[in-house]
Amino acid sequence: MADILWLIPILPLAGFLINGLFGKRLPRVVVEAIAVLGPFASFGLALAAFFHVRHGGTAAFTYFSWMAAGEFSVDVGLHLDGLSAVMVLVITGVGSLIHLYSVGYMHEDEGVWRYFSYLNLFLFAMLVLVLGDSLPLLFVGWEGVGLCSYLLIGYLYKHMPNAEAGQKAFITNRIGDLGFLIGMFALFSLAGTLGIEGLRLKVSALTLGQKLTAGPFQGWTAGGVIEFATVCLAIGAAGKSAQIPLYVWLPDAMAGPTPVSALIHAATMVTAGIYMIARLNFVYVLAPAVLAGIGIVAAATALLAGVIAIAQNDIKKVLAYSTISQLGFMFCGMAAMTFTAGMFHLVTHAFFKALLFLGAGAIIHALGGEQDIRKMGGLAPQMRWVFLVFAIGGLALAGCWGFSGFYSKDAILVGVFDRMSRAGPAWKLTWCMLVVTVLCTAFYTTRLILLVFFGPAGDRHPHKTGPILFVPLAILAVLSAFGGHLQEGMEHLLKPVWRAHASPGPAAHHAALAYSVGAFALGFVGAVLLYGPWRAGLTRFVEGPGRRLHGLVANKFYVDEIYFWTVIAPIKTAAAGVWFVFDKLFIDTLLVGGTGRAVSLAGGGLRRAQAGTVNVAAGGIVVGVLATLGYLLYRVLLG
Amino acid sequence: MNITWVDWISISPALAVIGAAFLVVLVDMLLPKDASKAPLEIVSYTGIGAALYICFRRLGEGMPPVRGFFGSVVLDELSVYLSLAILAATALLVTMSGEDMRRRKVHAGEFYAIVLLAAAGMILLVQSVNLIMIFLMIEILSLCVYVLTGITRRQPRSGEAAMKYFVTGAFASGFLLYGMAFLYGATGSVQLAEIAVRLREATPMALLGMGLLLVGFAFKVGAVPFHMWVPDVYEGAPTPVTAFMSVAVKAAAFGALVRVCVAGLPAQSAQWGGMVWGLAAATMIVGNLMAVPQRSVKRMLAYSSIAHAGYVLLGLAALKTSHAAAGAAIFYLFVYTFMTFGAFATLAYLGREVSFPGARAPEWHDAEDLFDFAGVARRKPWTAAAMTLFLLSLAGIPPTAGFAGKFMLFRAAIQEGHYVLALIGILMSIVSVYYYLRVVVYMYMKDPLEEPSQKGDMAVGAAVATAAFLTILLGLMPGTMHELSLRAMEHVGR
Repeated sequence: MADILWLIPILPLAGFLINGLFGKRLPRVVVEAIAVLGPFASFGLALAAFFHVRHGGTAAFTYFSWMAAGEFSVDVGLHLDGLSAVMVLVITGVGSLIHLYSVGYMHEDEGVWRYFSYLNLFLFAMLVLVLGDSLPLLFVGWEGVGLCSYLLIGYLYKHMPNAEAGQKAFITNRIGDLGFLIGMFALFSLAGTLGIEGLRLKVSALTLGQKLTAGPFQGWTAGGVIEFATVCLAIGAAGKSAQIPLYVWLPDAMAGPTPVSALIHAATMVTAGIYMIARLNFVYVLAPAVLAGIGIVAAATALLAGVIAIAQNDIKKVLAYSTISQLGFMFCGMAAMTFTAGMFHLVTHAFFKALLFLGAGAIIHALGGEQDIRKMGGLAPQMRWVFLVFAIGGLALAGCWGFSGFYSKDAILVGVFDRMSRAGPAWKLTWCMLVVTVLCTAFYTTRLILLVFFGPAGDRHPHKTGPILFVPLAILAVLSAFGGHLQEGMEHLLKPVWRAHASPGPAAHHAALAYSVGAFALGFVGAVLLYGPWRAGLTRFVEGPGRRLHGLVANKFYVDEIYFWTVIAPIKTAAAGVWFVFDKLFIDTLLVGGTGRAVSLAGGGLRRAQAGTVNVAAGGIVVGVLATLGYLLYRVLLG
Repeated sequence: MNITWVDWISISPALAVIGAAFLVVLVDMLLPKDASKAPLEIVSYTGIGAALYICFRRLGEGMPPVRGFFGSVVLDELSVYLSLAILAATALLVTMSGEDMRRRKVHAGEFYAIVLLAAAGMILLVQSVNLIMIFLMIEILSLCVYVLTGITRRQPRSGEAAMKYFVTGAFASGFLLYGMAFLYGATGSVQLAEIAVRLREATPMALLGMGLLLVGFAFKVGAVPFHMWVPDVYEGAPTPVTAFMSVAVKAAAFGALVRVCVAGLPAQSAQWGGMVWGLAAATMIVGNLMAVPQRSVKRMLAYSSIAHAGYVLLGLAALKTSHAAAGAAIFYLFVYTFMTFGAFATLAYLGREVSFPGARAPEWHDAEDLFDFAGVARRKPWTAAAMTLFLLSLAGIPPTAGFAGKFMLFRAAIQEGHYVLALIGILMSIVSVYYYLRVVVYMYMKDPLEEPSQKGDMAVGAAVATAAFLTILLGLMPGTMHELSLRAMEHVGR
C-alpha cells in the first residue's frame, strides 16, 4: 500500500495540470472527463487504502528530504492510518460526487476548464493536508486549500463582491496561519522535530512540570509551552474552520458557485482545523484547560451561528451559518476528548451538508438564480424528488431521530455531558449552549424547508433537474439517512489513533438522548407554529414589537461592522499614516516645500519635484546617520 | 611582489565576464549597423557561462579559498555562492534583452557591455577583503548601474531616475569613504583581517568609522531610512534593469556587508548587531506598510524589495551569535533573486506599444498599473500563473521558494533568540499578503481591458519561465543550496 499511496493525491494534481495548462484548447467533454476521472480513481485507491488500515494498521512512505539544516530536517512523506483513511474517503468520495454534479451545474459556463482545474487542485491540496506526515507538509496543504478556496470564490468574477469575499477569506485565514506557524515553532522548540510521529514520541516522553533550560521558552515549564502551542494552533484551526473570532469569512464565501460551497465551505476544507486537532490529539490531551476553553468558544460559535441562521433569508447564507454552527459541535467533540464523536460528526456532516448545498444548487438552478427563500415557497409539488432529498438532508442536520446527524450529534452531547459531570463548571456552560443550539438548528432547518417547499406557490415554472445533477443527490441522500450506522465501524477504525479516549457512562447517554430529542422537538414544533399556515402572526411580530431584535439578528449582531472598525480600519489607517508621514509630510512639506521654495527664490530652473526627491533621499540619509551616531554614542557612554 | 597565476585564478570569474564585455564592444563595432545583435548575446553568454562554470567547480566540498592580489581579494565559498546569484541574474537579463532593448530603442552593444561590467564589479565586490577594493568595486558597479538606469535616454523618467540615483548614491559613497578613512585612522590598515586583529578594543573613532560604513551599505541595500531613492529609481529605470539591480546589486552589497561585519569587525558585533537590528525592524515595517497603498505594481514591487532587504538584515542581525541565521539570510538572498527578477520580468512581458497622438513613433510601456493586470488570466493563463507563483513566493506561501527561505530564516532567528525580530517578520509577511494578493485579484477576477493584447516577446517569456522554474525547484528542494549557504557562512573570515 505504501508504495502507491502517492497516487491518491497525484491523480487530481495531474487533472489540474492537464486542464489548467491545456484546458483552453481541449474539447469540453475531455476537460470534464479528466476532471471527474481523477477524483473517482483516487476514491478507488482510497478504498484500497481503507481496507489496508481497517484493523489498526498504518502505512507510511518517505519520498525525499525537503528541508534540512544540521540536525533539523523535514521530509516529504505520506502517512496513512485510520484517521487519514476516514478523511481521504470523505474527501475523494464527496469530492467525486461534487465533481460529477458540477458537470451538470456548470454546463452553461464557457471557462469551465479553469473551474475544474481549481477544483482538482483543491482536492490535491486537501489530500496533502490529511496525508502529510509532518506539520510543514500539513501546512502546504493548509495554504493550498486556502488558495483554491479563494480562487473558486472569485470564480464568478463578474460580480465584484465575489473577489472581495475571496480576499476576506484569504486574509482571515492568514491571521489563523500566524497562530498555526507560531504554534508549530513552539512545538518544534519543545520537541526538536516537526514530523508527526516524531512529535508523538517526544511529547509523550515529556515531564510536564519540568522547567526548560534553553531555547525561546527558557524558564517555562514544558506543560506551559504545550498550552501555549495548543492555543496558537487552535487559533489556526479557528481560522480555517470558521470559529469565533475568525468565522466572518465563511458566509461571504458563499458568493462562489454552489458546488464549491458544497465541497469546500461545507464538506471538506472547513474541517481542516478539526482534522488538525484530531491529528495532534496527543498534544491536546496534555492541555485540558485549553480544551475546556476551546469547548466554550466552540459552543458559543455554535449558538451564535445558530441564532443568526434563524434570521437569514438567503438559502445559501442559512446553510453557511449552519455549517459554522455544526463545526462548533465538532470542536466540542474534540474538546471533550471524544475524538471519535467529533470525527463521526465531521463525516455525517459532510454527507448531509453536501446534500443540502447541492439540493439548494438544484433549486437555485431551477429558479434561474433566485436565492431568496421569501420568494420561493410551494416548491414541493413542483420538485418532488429534490424536496425528498432536501428534507432528508434537513432532518439529518436538525438531528431528527433515525437520521445520521442525530447519532453523531448525540455522540458529541454524550461526551460533553460526561465531561461536565467530571471536569467541573466550565463545561456546564458549554453543555447549555449546545442544547440551545440543537433547538435553534431544528428551528431554522424546519423554517427553511417550510418557506422553500410549502405555502403558496408563486407563478413560476422551475426547470427540470437533470439526471447528472440528481445521481449525486440520491447517493448523498442515502448516506445522510443511513450514515448513522457507521458509528461502530468508526470506533473500531479510529481507536488505535487516539492516545487517550473518554468512554462515557450510561447516565450521559440517557441525558444526551433526552435533551437532544426534547430540544429537537421544541425547535421543530416552534418553527411549524411560526412558519406554518399561521405565519401572518410572525410577520406582525417582526414588523412590530420584535423589530429591533430581528434587526440585530438579521444583521449578524453587527460583527462584520465591529471588525471593520476595530481591525481593518486601524490597519488601513496605519498604512496610510506611514505613507502620509514619509511621502507627504516629510517629503512634500518638510523637504520639498522648504528647498523648493529656496530654489524658486533663487530663481533656479530646477523643477520642484526633481529637486525635492533628491533632497528627500539625502534628508533620509541624514536622519539615518544621526540616528546611527546617536545609537553609537549611547553604546559608548554605556561602556 | 610579483603577480602570479594564483592571482589571476582568484579573480577568474570576473575576468571571464570582463573579457566578454570587451569582446562585446569589439564585435559590436564590426557588426553592420542593421545586422542582428545575436552575436553580442552569444559573446555575453560565453563569458557568463565560463564564469558560472568556474563557480560551479569551486562549489565542491573542501575547496580551499584562493587569495590574490596581495590579499585584497579572495575566492571562497561565500563569494562563489553570491556570484552564482549575480551571474544568474545577469544571464536572465541578457536572455530577455535582445528584442526587448530594441523596442526600448537602446543600443545593444553598449547595453550588454555595461551589464557585463556591472556584473564583474559585483562579483569582485563579494570577493573583496580590503576596504579600498570594496570601495572601488562599489563605485564601479554603481557607475554601471547609474548608466543602465538612464539608458532609455528618450524617456524623461529614466533620465530623471538616473540623476536621482547618481546624486544620492554619491552622497552615500561619501559616507562610505568617510567610514573607511576613520577605520583606517583607528587601525592603520585597510585589510579586513588586519583590522579585526587590531580592533580588539573599540575606540570612539573606530566606532564612528564603523557606523558611517554601515550607513553607506544600508544605502546600497536600500534599508530604511536610507531607502528613499529606491521607489523612484526602481520605477523610473527600464523594467529589465530594475529587475537586474533589485537582485544583483542587493546580493553584491549584502555580500560585502556580511564580509565586513564577520571578517573585519568581529569584536564589535554587539555594536553593529544593534544597528542592524534597528535597520531590520524599520525596514521590514516601513517597507511592507508603504507597499500597501501603492497603485502601481512596479512601485509596489520596489517597496516589496525594500521589505525583503529587511528580512535579509534580520538574518544578519542574528549573526553575532551563530552563523545559521546569516546562512539562512544568504540563502534567502539567493531565493529572492529568482522570485523578484521573475516578477519584474513579467511586467516587461505584459508590456505593450502605445502610440500617443503627436508622437513620432509608438512608445514601449511595461505593465505597471494595476489595471494593466486586469483579466490577464483570461488572455494569458501561463503568464498569470507565473506571476501568481512569483507573488505567492514573495508572500512566503508554500511550497514556493519564498516559503522555504522565510521558514529557514525565521526558524534560525527564533533559535538564536531574536523573537521580536522574528515576530515582526512573520507579522509583516502576513501584511504583505494583502498587497501581493491584490495583483492576483486583478489578474483573475477583473475583466480584461478593451485594448487588444499584444503577443509577448519569446525571449522575455523564456526568462520568466526560467525564473518560475527555479522558484518552484528551490521551493521543493531547497536542501543543497541551503546547506551550501550555511557552509559559506561558517567558513567566511577563516
